[in-house]
Amino acid sequence: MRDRWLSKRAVSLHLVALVFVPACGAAAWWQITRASDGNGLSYLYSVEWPIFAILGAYFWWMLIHTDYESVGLKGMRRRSTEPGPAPMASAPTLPTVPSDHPEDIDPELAAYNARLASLSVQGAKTWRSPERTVVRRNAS
Amino acid sequence: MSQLWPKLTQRGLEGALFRYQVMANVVGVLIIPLFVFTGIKIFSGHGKLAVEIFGVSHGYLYIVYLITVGVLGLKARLNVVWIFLMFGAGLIPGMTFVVEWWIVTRKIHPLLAETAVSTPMGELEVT
Repeated sequence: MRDRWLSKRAVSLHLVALVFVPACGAAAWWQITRASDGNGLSYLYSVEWPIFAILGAYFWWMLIHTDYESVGLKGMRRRSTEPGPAPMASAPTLPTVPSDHPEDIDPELAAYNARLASLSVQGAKTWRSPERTVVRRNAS
Repeated sequence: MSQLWPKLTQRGLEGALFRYQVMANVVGVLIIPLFVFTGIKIFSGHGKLAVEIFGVSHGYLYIVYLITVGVLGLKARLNVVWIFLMFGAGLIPGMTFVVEWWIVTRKIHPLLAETAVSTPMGELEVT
């Protein structure tokens, strides 16, 4: 938690956001005064600057919260040098339903059970980890 | 709180890369006439309509460009400096093409090469 908000990178992001968002607000106000003087293009820019401010705040939040250490080029290289459990290596393996007669497994029921198993493996759902689905691609 | 978002998969990265490349080229093409007509308008007083057309279209598409840059940057975990460079490139004529080429060849292609190894096609994949 301390690393997330107080690392060097995080503090510089806070500073950039603290400068950028009020600057967008000031620019929006400037464009509104110009638009009220009759400058047609300023009507657009007085809409655009508040959007820039919102985007700046959003990307500030996302950049603080995105995990740069374990994913991406840096994380992949780090993971390949230090052995250990690979967090993204594969999806949790789903337990299969044991049956003596594979032909009378209801496919819908099996899918439901697999879904329950995958949910229990994934753990709690939070606003940052929305429900994940396991997708099998290129099954042939 | 070590949840990984946005997910990094090969397909997701390719999609984000494609959307970024489309928007980089659209914005990069639109800003050239915007600068040309703004110069003409400043020096001769003509071309007000052209400035407004290209100003409005570049203005709104630049917002879309910013979103595609942010999504690609966050997905690929690009350094914040490169993300800011991509943001700024959409405002300088000609810069989107240079920055896009540099980011794609130096940053995204190596990453795609490694995600292709770690999440090969046809494997089970968490999206």
